[in-house]
Amino acid sequence: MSNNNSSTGKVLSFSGHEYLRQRLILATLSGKIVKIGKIRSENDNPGLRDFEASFLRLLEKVTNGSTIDINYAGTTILYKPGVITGGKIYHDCGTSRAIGYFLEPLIALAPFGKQPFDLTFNGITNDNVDISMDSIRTVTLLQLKRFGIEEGLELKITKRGSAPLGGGEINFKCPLVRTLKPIQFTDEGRIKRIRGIACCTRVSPQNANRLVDSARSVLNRYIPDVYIYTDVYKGEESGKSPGFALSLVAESTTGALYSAEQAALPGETPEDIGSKTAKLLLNELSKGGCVDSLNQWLTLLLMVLGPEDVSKVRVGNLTAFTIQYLRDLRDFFAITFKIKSDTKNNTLLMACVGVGYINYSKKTT
Amino acid sequence: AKKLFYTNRRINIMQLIYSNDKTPEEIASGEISELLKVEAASNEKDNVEEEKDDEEFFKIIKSQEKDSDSVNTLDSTKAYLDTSNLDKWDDEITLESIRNRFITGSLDDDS
Repeated sequence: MSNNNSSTGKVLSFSGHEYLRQRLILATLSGKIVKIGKIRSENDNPGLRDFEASFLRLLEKVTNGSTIDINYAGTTILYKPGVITGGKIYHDCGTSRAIGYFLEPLIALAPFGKQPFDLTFNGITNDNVDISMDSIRTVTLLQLKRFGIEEGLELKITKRGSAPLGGGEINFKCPLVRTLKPIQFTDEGRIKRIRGIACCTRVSPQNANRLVDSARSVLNRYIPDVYIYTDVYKGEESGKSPGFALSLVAESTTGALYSAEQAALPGETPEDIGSKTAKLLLNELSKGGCVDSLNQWLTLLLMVLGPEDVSKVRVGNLTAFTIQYLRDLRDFFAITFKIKSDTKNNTLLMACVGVGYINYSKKTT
Repeated sequence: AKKLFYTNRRINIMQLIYSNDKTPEEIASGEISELLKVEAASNEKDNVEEEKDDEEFFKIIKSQEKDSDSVNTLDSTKAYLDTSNLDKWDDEITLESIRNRFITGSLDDDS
């Protein structure tokens, strides 16, 4: 068994700063106490980074009664989760990580709060490390719909902010659910359309058009239904740094979504970014499956939290992140997936029985 | 016999993920079917390699710790998207290979 986990009594122990967010989120959902040690203990600059501390503070804001003990050097955290409350919350995400770092894991908590989540985050909306707001809005949130979380789900990008200075702002609203629906999603279908958003901040709007043209030149050979919106923010709404980014989504006949995105680093031309993103999308499509690699974890988590019924999904290659997620899901919820490989198109069929998670704060009416 | 083969495969993938000391990165970087073959065939080889590793044990840890803020250890889903080998998509054959993933592809295949 994996050696970085040993459960003594009720406390689950992990080590390392990797996968910190998911462990805290899973602890909150399962109500288990978790101890994470050896956080960069060998590093020249040991302990938690500012964005990790910021994430812990955010976690404190959305829950009630949770306690977080951090040792003096910041290399060990003991987290006792409380209940998820939600409500109207403001958080400044800083500029060391993009908003995606903070919002992505919270999406998994949001449907199970006491009050509907209404989050306002400040920071970087598009960068190359974390998932961009566009992809969360067009792909990640749509994964929730399949589980029965639908009305009132909303993500608004009020201001955009590129790295390094950020200055973007988003608003995320999520309704509550009492229970999730199980899913049976094994038919991947064929791609029927491709959509995208090309955005730019504090640069010539022409850059967005160049992004669109270069992405289309790669994708149009497959399908004529390629439409990429240009989203140009001006003045106050365009944050503090110049930059541009492209996010692409392919939708299949059965509603499977595949995403790819890239943001520009200094010195890259819109043509580079456009074709790079388009090729990333093709790469994603070639893997197959019904869920793209960015959102595997969310689908698998919601399957585990679903009712005590079998959920099935087809995925392409598992990413390293997902593999660790599967291991952590086993540690927190004692759920292992049945994984069957389909040799016909090199995909994996994953099935599990949910734990029957119920949000008691949501009244049945 | 065919059935047996597939059930074995299933267990193997689950074993690979759930009861294995390999890091997620190692598992994800290889083709799963290949990993399974290697797994089955070369348990002995592994032992030899492990011994070799032991000699340089401390060195390896050090080099890992030094770049522990590199992309691989960033806590991000997106960091695992591979942007390095996109050049293959300039190749006509690769481009045509996923033609059937689109509704414009031919209908008389099995995928």
